[in-house]
Amino acid sequence: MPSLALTDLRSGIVVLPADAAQPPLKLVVPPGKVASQPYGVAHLSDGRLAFADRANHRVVAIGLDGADFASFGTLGSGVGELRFPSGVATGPGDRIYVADTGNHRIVAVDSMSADGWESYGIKGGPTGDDPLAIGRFAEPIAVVADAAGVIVADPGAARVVRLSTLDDDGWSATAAGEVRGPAALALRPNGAIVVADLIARQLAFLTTPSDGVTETFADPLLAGPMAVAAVSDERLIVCVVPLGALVVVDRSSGVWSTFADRSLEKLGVRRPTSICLLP
Amino acid sequence: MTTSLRVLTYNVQMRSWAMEVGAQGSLTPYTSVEKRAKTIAARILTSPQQYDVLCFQEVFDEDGRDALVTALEGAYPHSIRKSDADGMAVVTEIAFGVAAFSAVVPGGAALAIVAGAIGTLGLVFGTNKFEDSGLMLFSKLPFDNIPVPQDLRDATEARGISLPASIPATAFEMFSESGGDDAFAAKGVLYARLLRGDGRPIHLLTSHTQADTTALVAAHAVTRRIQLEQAFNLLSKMAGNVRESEVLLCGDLNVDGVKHRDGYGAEWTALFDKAGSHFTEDLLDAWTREQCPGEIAPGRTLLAEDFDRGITAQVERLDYAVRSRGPSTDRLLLQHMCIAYDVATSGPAPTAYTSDHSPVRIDLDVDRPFASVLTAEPLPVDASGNATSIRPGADATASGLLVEGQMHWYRIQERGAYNIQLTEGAPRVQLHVYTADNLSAPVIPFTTLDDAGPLDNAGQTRFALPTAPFYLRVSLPDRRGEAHYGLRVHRFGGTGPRDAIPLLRGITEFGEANTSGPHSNDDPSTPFNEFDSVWYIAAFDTEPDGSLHVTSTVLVSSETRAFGVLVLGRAPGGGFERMDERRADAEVTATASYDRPLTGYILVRREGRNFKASTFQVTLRSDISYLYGNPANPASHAGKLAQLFCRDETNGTFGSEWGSDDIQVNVSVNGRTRVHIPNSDDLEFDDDARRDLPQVDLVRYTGAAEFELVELDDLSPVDRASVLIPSFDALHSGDAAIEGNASGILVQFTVIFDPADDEDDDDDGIYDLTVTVSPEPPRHA
Repeated sequence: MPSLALTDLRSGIVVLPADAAQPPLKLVVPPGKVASQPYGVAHLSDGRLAFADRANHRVVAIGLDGADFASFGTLGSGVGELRFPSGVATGPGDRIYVADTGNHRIVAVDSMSADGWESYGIKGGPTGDDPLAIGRFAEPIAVVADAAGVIVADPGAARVVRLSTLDDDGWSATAAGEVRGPAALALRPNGAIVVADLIARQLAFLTTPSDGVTETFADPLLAGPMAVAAVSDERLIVCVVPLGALVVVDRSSGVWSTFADRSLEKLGVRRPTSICLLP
Repeated sequence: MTTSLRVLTYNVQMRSWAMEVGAQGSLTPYTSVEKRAKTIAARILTSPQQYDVLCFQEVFDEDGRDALVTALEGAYPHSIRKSDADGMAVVTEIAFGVAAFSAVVPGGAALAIVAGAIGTLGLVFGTNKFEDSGLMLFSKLPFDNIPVPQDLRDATEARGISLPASIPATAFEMFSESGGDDAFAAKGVLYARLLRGDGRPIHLLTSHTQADTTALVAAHAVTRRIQLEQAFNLLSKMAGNVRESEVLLCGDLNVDGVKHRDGYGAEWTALFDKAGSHFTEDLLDAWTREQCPGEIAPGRTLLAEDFDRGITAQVERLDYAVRSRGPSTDRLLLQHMCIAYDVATSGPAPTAYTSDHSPVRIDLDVDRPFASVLTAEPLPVDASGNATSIRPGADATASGLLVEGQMHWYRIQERGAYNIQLTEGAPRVQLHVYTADNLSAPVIPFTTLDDAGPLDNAGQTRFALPTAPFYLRVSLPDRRGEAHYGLRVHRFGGTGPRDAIPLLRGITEFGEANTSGPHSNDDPSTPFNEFDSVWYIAAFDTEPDGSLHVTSTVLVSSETRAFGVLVLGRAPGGGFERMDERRADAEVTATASYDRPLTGYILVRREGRNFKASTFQVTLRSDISYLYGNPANPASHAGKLAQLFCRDETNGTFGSEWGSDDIQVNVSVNGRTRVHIPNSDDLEFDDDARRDLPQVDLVRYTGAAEFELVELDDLSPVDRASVLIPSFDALHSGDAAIEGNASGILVQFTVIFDPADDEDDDDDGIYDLTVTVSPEPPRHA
């Protein structure tokens, strides 16, 4: 198990060392408190962690030693403003993507100084009159990014969307019924998208959203997957809420299997919202 | 040492994050549990009730559990903080850390006890129980002890574990049967034998049995029956002879115990009213059998037909005190069982939501005459000792001694207007007045007489009691020492403004004038003729800003055709003004219209000079109705908080209900907004969420009031839904009424977003509003 960073509504930002015998590290965010509603943690190339400070309508970056604090965002819907952000991801060139949940949009910035601000999306979802609903998000809650663009989990619209750029071009979304409650996303090194489906209580795998889900995996230990990270093409780490545990999902000879790695409750983590791998 | 015992049982609805996220499929931060736990604990610790034992159910959230422990462990040193599938953990007296062991103690009682910290991953994953039992117990009374058998001590000693000579008499047994979502929790029954102040034991159990879904009430009756039999078997093991032991089983039993128009439900009857059932023959439902409506027995009187139905959750009575028939001597008596409003609500400000159940207070003390509702002493009695009534203008008195938490209940047979006060003993001794239909919330006086001036003592109160019998509870809440008390009950006679009899709306008063001479004299300083009148008083209430025009009507009828009526109004600080006047006839109707608040005086005036005609009927009606939602407001007629319950979230795309409904509330009258509650964390709704609406404190309306919900984040085009709330008179006999009486009814309305044309379940969001509708204006606080 590699080192992990984890957001928790109780303990804030928690870093789990690779050595399970080592105690977890809980980060303190200025002005001296644990983050009250952290979501969507991501790792920046400068070594800091970035996460969505949902209650304060901002994105925060902080070093593992608690130093180098930075943030951007205030409550609102304009440039430089966010409303209950819930997801953060980094892409090529350290571009930062934010699921600006309350504004039903995706925001991209070049750095923590919020320069190069771009946003895309308006409130909405598929309807009988507009089944594709291109450019509309109901409740975008998680993002991951790669060289091909950004992928968005929108449980409010019960779909996963891939964007090449922050405009209508390259829009690709799952069809109705493919996923039910996408709570978290991960990217395997081979480019496949992993969807933690909280409602369907399973993992779903896909490459191009509009092509649909190619594979699913359900298991008693995966009842309630809340966060997911990909260690390799063959190994995933899933945060399972009812169990209060980190569950490792391995693939061997084409067959998925699970084992419980450690209890989050024992680490003081009771309301986990996201995880990311640390180098 | 006191023999009083006060127990609080409370389903605190502390569902865990895992339950909320897993079951609701929502990522909305669920952060209120710790706040609610702290609020509940603070209310308990500051309550004048000084609870001895607290039994909590549905404490699944670990942060909530920690908050309760942190706040309560100082005052309640003996506790069972967790009971799980693998046994019981953290019994405070157990100072050793060992794994589970089983013991067979002398007498054959079997125990399964786990102490210390348990819960390795292996254990957790070895079961499908994601959650523990949710049961917690806090006590000021110590646990009784059970000796640990020597052979067991020897056996564990050989493994390097030293056991003490005795262990607390506690046990937990997980239910063998459970279903639905309950199957993921280690539901069960928790037992503790506690030593009371007089050294006698009480066998205390608490449980939270199988829940039904909102849509399928009683669907799991068979499962509950099996679970309750399991609880009885555990009790039998621990107590021996259940029938003759002192037993209290309390908690959320999920059996609806409300008596409906067609009687009790089949599940309740099979348990609590059927030969052969342990819960009928050895145990009893204390609410029904010991308080309300009571069993027929010598010296006991059945309460009125509209007795308090004891609702503890939504429209059901789910939270119980189940007691044994008890020992033949010094059995504990149920002095009072009621909603613990000291814990459910606090202070005059809008109260914080704490749970979807009401907390229940169970007040026990050694059996004495007149110590319960059911055995209340009639007041007054005639020379033969039979209950009689107090004549208008007359007094009834009583006195007594109370010791260490005792109560003495009095029963008054006849409805009417009374001044009721303690002449000795206050403030240590307390007096509360209850009507049969609400044994939890005391009656608030109609007026403190400030408006008409005091009678002969300060602090007198004017109670208007439209139903009888009603009850006076005289109590010494303090469990230390004793106190004498004196009680005086004066019945008003209507001989002048200060002796005026309160008129409640819609309640016909059977009036009586003196026949030996004029009932009242004329006041020569006024331009009106008040001679020989029976005075009544009523609040002519409306909006203070003049925006609501109200009409009240007085009807007087008499067979003798001797009575007319004079209606006067008086503004605060002003003089009397004539509003209407009618000469005597068989039926007389007078009208008062007003758009500013007045105190109304209705003088039923006898015409002629022989003073022979004596009886008449008088009725007051108004076209104004009221919504009340905050019982913590002393002026309110609400017996319960207004609440909004989400049966079904509004739909998002493709029927997805992901995320919470962001609800905003508006209440308007004649197009004018009277209450606006903006959306906040307190108005975020998932399925089965319930939120208090104390902001609907007081709404005056004529015609109908509109209650509107706005779903601020709804993706569908239909994001508003509303319901019209008719007048009290229109509602009183309708199906919307849940409970109540002529002065206020709790009504429930369903608010549906985008209702479907057919009966299929494809409506877009369904909410239930529960609120009190009353014809009565705010009380004189």
